[in-house]
Amino acid sequence: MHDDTSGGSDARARGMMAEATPFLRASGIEKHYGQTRALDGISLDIANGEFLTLLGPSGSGKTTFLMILSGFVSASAGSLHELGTDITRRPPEARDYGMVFQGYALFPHMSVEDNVAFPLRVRGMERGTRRTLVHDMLARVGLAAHARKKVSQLSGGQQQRVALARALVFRPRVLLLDEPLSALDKNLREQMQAELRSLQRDSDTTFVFVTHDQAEALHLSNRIAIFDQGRLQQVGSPEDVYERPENRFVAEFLGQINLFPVSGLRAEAGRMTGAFEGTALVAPERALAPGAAHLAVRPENLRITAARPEGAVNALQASVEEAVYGGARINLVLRTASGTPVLCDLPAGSDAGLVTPGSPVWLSWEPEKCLLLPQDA
Amino acid sequence: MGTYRPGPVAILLAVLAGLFLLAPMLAVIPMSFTPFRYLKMPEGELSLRHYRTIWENADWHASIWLSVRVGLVASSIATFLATAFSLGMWYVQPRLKALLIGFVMLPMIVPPVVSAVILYFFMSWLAKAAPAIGYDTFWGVVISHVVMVVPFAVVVVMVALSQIDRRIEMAARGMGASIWQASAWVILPNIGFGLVAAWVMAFVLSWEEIAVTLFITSINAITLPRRIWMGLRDNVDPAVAAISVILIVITLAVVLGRILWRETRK
Amino acid sequence: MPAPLNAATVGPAPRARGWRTGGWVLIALLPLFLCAAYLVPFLGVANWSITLPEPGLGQYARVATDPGVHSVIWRTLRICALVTLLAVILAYLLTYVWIHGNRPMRILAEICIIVPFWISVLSRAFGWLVVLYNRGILNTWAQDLGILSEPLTLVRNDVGVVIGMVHFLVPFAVFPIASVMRGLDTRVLMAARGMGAGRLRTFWEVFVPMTMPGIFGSAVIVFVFSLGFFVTPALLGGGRSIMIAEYVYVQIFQASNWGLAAALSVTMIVIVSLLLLALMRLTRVEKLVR
Ligand SMILES: Nc1ncnc2c1ncn2[C@@H]1O[C@H](COP(=O)(O)OP(=O)(O)O)[C@@H](O)[C@H]1O
Ligand SMILES: [Mg+2]
Repeated sequence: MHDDTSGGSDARARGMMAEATPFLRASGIEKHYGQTRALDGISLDIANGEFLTLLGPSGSGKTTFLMILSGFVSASAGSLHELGTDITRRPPEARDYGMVFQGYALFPHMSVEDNVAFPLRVRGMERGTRRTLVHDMLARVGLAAHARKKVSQLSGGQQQRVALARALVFRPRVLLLDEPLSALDKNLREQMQAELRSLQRDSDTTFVFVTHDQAEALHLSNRIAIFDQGRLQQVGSPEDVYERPENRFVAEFLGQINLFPVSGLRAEAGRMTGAFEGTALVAPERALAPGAAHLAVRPENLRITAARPEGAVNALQASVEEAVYGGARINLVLRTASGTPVLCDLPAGSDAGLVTPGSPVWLSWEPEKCLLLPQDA
Repeated sequence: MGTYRPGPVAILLAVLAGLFLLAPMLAVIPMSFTPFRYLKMPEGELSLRHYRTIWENADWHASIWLSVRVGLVASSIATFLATAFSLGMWYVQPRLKALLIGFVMLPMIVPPVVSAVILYFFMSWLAKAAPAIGYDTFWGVVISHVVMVVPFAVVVVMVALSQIDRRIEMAARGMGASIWQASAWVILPNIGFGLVAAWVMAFVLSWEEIAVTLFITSINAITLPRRIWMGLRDNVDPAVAAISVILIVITLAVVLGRILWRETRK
Repeated sequence: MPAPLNAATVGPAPRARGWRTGGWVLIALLPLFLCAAYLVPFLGVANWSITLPEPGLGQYARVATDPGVHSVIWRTLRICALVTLLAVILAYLLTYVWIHGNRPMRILAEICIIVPFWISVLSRAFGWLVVLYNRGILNTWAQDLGILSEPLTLVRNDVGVVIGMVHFLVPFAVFPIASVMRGLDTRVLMAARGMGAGRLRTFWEVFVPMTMPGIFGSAVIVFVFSLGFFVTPALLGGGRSIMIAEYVYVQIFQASNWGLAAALSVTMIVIVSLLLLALMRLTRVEKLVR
């Protein structure tokens, strides 16, 4: 069963792929564990050479989907095609995909270079060629000096690099990564994100990357596929999913957002107008089931002024409740006249008088900077 | 609040239980030094004559040597079969897993005397079909011992496998390793300790095996336990005390060594 | 600068396929061996039981009706029950000290449990012979100290058999109990003590009930093990106190009555299977093993 939103995202994904045979196509993948539906009808095309991130909360089915791509888990229903060939039942050892596991799964009894040489060794490559490829790869990930060490002597970040080197050295067509960065501390994680990007660019390999961290997904990906409860919620570029979420789950999962319940929606001239606490608010037009909806605005799209700005379409009166100084940004919590909390995110150095708690202000935003979301079932 | 500790009554009773467990082993020590030719405690003077018997008598030598050879071969075969089986189960995870494991555990669960009757039947049949490996032969004993000790080796190897991270198998497989490459290069090196433990366990069990051996040997293949048995059956031979002391001292040394090693490492 | 990543292509692994087949080959060796060396011969034994000396269920009828066989079976069951009771009590005490004692106590208890476990059943039975026989250590001491005037007969009867078997089985009885005791939350016990329950009361009303699964598992295992016991009864019973396993030996090697030996074997398998099924029904075996 597809619901509206995932059906819509399928269409969008196919549209982007045009008519050409997709590199990888998952159609209607389901996975049941007894009563649990780990995956519930996932259809998704993956383009050659793209960096696709599977994003979703823990338990949403990301790992299961990745395992089905890799062949370690077989789907209960649905099919998987690579360049038009059905590979649903092809075993993992014959898929020729690289994989980086959560926790890395390095071979603990081998040195760094033996770990990286492993995929070449199983392919019967002779020692000389093998050494060259291994050392090039280790140099590429900055581990040339550690080739002879045991993997247990390396730090977490270095082990991560060994796992990447090992998964890329045999030039797989696809690299599957399951939360590879989640065990690293914040600085190291950011550094590795940059390296992953550049590795992906240099290697022309398709990356399918799993994470539950939305910032990571936004930084890294060409496209993001958002999972929740075993269903695909939306697929699109980082900008797409961040700026134009298709439902409330996607909107809220990708960062903070203010949701104003609006009623009595009317469409006119490409815009829709509805009432929130007696104030008319305007947003770009969107096909919605009739009735109530949410008008969603990201905190950074709100402006604050002392008086109602001239000609503002969307404006609400509110008072500052709390201001948190965060270096480059200031985070405000405000309340509207009738008590609805609103989050607002301003660049540091904004008008100091307005951001002190207690001060009455006007909130305003461009209609183009907000959107309407369907009310949940 | 301290930790929960046994009280004095429990300790006293446990000490008595411990003495009960150690008593027979302590008792054979003086007996092994008796100067008499029959089972009688030494009175004053001690003698090493029974140790000399073990040291010099060709029959005892032959039995010790046979038990060593049987133990080496049987434990190696048992470890090989157990490792293959456990690895295969670990890789395939078949639906019939419980049934298959139950089947290979049978010789451990079935009462030893029943196993002995079964192997007696098998060896008698082999004695007609292939006399060289049947009743009362070296290979007959080896085959029977493999049957009896292999379940224990399976348990040890399976426990060892359960300790290792499944993802290293998946990693090897995903990188294109064949099952043989993954086994030889990745999995087996990581359960080396378990394999050694399984082998040692199998060797010790074969070395001590008596119930089945009694049924499948008579005058040619006399293992050490069988010779001890013969020394106990009719007129008790104090040489049994000497050999028992030797075996007890070896066991004690190994067990104490292990405990010491463990305790000092902490 | 390192070479670009997309320089050489390597291609798929040539020999990778066949994990399933290979896995089944690995699995198959041992069951095949056991089929040939154990299962098929077992069917042969079962066949003996209904064909020797003549076809029919005569041997089973004998197992069911013969007073000689019955007295052996009853003695076996009686001795095994007594042995189980004693072995579990001793094992419980030792395990209690082994798991909850301080470090020296733990090490001593471990030595008392592990050393006998690894020593050959023959040496252990022989040791009891030395302790118990008419001119053995126990009788000599007792007479020297004037406690006894006549030596007590302790071997070549049920007493010796029971002592020897208990001694053999205590280490086996320890493991299921130990696995349950290790898993106990001792804070419950501390709480009981804290609420004013005495040591004895805490032990009987909290500790023992909490370890009941271990006691039960241990009892079944010891009972099943003891049923087929051969060496210790044969040596310490001295041919007088015959249990079922020795009876089977006698049927094969002295009475040449293979049919009866086979029928008894099959009967024992059936009894043991029923006992183990009951065990699996009542507790989860995995918990006892781990
Ligand atoms: N082997 C399994 N057996 C039973 N349930 C499983 C198994 N693997 C995953 N699940 C269930 O499937 C759902 C999705 O799991 P998973 O794919 O691991 O999620 P994620 O990786 O997004 O955290 C979860 O509810 C999980 O409990
Ligand atoms: Mg996961």
